[in-house]
Formats: sequence, C-alpha cells, structure tokens
Amino acid sequence: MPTEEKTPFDRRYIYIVLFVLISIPLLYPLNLPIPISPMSQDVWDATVALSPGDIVVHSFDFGPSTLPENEPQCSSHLFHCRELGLRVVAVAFWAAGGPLAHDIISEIYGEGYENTAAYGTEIVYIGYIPGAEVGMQTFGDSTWDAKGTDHYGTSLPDLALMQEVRSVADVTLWAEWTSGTPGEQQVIQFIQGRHQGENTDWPLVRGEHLLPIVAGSTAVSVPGMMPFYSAGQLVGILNGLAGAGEYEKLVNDVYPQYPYEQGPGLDAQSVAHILVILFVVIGNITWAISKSGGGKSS
Amino acid sequence: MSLVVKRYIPLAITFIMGFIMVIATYFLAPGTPARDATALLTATVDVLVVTAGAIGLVALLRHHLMNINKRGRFWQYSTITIIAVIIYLIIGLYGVATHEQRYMYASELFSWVYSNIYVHMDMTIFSLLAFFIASAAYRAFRLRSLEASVLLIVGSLMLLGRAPIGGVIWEGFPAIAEWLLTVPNAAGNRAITIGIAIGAISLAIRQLLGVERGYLGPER
Repeated sequence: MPTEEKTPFDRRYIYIVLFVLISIPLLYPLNLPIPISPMSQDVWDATVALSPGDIVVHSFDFGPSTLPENEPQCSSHLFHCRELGLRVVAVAFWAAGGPLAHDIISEIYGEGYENTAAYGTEIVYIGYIPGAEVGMQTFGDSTWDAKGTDHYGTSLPDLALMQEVRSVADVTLWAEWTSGTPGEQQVIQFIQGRHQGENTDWPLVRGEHLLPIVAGSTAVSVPGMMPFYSAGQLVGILNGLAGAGEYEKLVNDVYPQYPYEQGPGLDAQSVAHILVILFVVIGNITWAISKSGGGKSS
Repeated sequence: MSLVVKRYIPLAITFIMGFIMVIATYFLAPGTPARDATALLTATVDVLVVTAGAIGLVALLRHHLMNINKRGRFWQYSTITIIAVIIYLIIGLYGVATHEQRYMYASELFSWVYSNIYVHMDMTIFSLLAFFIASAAYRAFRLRSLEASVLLIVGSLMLLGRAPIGGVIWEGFPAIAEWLLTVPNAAGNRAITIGIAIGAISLAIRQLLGVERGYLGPER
C-alpha cells in the first residue's frame, strides 16, 4: 500500500489548482473528440437490435452521490428506447433510486407522464421494490408478486403493459444502472441465472439463451464487471462519465434533438486526469531529490 | 434465557429455512406449486427489512443522543443529525396523515427536501473525492518498488486512456486502456470473484450446519 507523505506546502494549494483548472473547460469547453469505446458500442448495438414493442426493464439502482455519472447514462438510453418504440418497465431496488427514477423518467417522457395515455402501455414505473437481492429474485420470478402496485398506487394487473410482463421471461433486455449492491452482479445471479433458457429470443451464450443485460456504472465499479462482460453475461457497459458521454454522442448523432451535454464534463475530466499525472510526476521528482540529498523522505 | 432459546431454536430455524431455500433453488422447477410456495418465505424479507429500518432509526437516535449527553467528539453534528431525522420523519408522517402521500415520495414537501437538499449534499460529498485523489497522487504514489512502479504506470495509462485527452495525445491510449480493462483486470477480478464465491459457499454450509455460530453472538 502506498505510504502517504506530507507535502512541503499546504495541500489546499493542490485543491485550488484543481478547482481552477477544471473550472476553465466547464466554462469554456475544449470540445475534445469523443472516441466510442467497444463497451459503449455494444450497448448501442444490443438496443438497436430490438424490435419496436419489445420490453426493456430499466433498473435504477443508485443513489444521489453517483447521479452525475448514472443520470446521463440512463437518460440517454431511456430516450433511445423511447425513440425506437420499445416499451419500458422501470424499477428501483435502491430506496434512494426511487425518487431519482421518477425525475429521470419525467425528463424523458414529460412531466406528469403518469397521467398520460402512454402510461401503462409504453411505460410503467413500478417504483422501489424492497428486499435487495430477494426483491430482485421475486421480481424476476413473478413481477406481480414483487410489488402489488406501481409507484403511483395503481394495481399492476390493471396496467396493460404489466399484463404482458408476468416474469422476466417476458422481458427482451435488462438495463441496469447501478453504483453498488444490489447491482449488475445480483441481476446476473438472481435473475439471469435463474431464468436461463426461458426465452428463445434471448441471445445464445455458450449454448444457453441468456437474458441480455446492459449496464451503466461508476468508473470505479466497472473493473469488477469485466469478468461478466467477457463471459457474455453483460452484453455492454457504459463506463462512468466517459461511457455516458459516448452514449449521449451516439444518440445525439442520430437524434439531434437529444442534447449532447457531457462534453464540458469530459473536458474537465481530461484536465483533471492530466493534472493527477503531473502531480504524480512532481511528487516523485521532489521525493527523489529529497532522497538523494540524504534528507528524510517525508 | 435458556440455551434452548438462545442457541438451539435459532440454529434450527437457520437449518430448516436454509435447506428449504437450497432445495427450492436447485431441485424444484420454476412455476411448480412447491417452488411457488417458497416465494412466501422470500416475501417475509420485506417484513424483516421494515423491522430492521425501525431498529436502525432507534439505534441512530440512541447513539447520537448519548454522544450529545456525554459531549462526545463532534457532538454538535450529532445534534444536527437528530434534528434532521426528526424533521424529515415528521414531514413524511404528515404526508401520510394528510393522504397527500399516496406513494412513497409523493408528498410535495418530502420530495422537495429530498431533491433539493439531500441529493445535492450527497453529490457534493462524493465529488470531494476528486480533490483528495489529486492530493493523494502527489503524496502517495512513489516509485519505491517494482510493484509500485507497475501500479503507477498502469494507473497513468488508464487515466490517459479513459479520458478524451488521451486519444488526442496518442490514439493508442484508449486501446491500451481497453486492453488493460478487458484482459489483465478481467483475469484478476475473475480470480477474486471465484475465490469470494467459494468462501461464501463454505461459510453458508458452515452456518447451515451450525458449525459457524458467530452470527448468534458470544457463547456465554
């Protein structure tokens, strides 16, 4: 584990430098080109491969702390689903995700969407389902048993779309927006694993039809997802803010009415990354100098 | 309390419930009445979650009240915590009492507090990490050993490859970052995941058989 050393100056100078430098691209964007990573492209490809009317579950399993990364991921994907004519069943297995999901869906489907004709046929928001992994398992086995009503108090059997979604076998794609547990690993374990082979429309993975799952998560969580991505259990991943920006760019290229807003944020991220590397280099130079001078390194 | 109540009954409950779920998962086909019957057991988790929430509230209040009473470390923040919890609880209960709150977050005031206060405070705290990382980069990452050097070089490549600036400097950086993520990282994470899974299975079997009793508290 790296040993922490004292700085020869007040560390708040580092904070000021970082604050000033990341503020500049936020105020005056650099408009750096955004290369699309294969993982983001896979999310796009899995989504456009669906047919209008197919059912996509959007699971909002994150809290406010990671909203800047998760929100642009799920918003752009939700918009994409709406434009493709896909039908969406939204849930949240995090209590904190419940109200956030309502706000995000309202942005895409319009304020008061729960009172429109589209609600119940094109979109349903079930709301928070308690019980974490157990709640997920119950939802996968029997959607009506996981929660009696939607987020707005309407009985699930009274919604036309939910008449068609009795278990996860009726779902065509699962979009998991997460920043912890329960998250993509629990969906794989308690839903995908329990229902493999139940829908022949699902893609074949090692000889078995598997529910396709796309995920979006904070950059710090994505390394833990990679074994599942390389095994085909996750078909695509939006990796942190960069992944969100990439998907926004893909959506914006086809649907210009969807704003590409992550550019300044990614520019600021670029500046911050360069600054961190510079700090590492300067820190090592000063450490080497103090070491060669025979002084104590700290 | 007798040993029967403190030890044997909880062990029996764990054994019976655990094996019912194991049998339901591995030996009963989905959609069969027997498997559906076990769904009732999983539904009881909701009841336990609600009870745990209530216990958590009591424990939180108790902890912070004791801290204030003793004028312990940062007792002023304990006061703010208690005031915030009580005010938010009252707002929530008021929403339910006036039937404004048809569903969990429907009360306008309850939602307003969540969206305009809690969400922003939570995001702010999390974003402060960026400043600590910058400071830690200067103070902690040193080329002291081969392992530290590998960590530093790989970390720098990931930093360059996962931000747009990396591709501008050299188009190979994003490809290197992608390779690091999908090959060495995936291999390492797979080993860790398999190790954790084997450990979890082992612990579960020990708990079901009553060999591991740490969750029941000290044996006295």
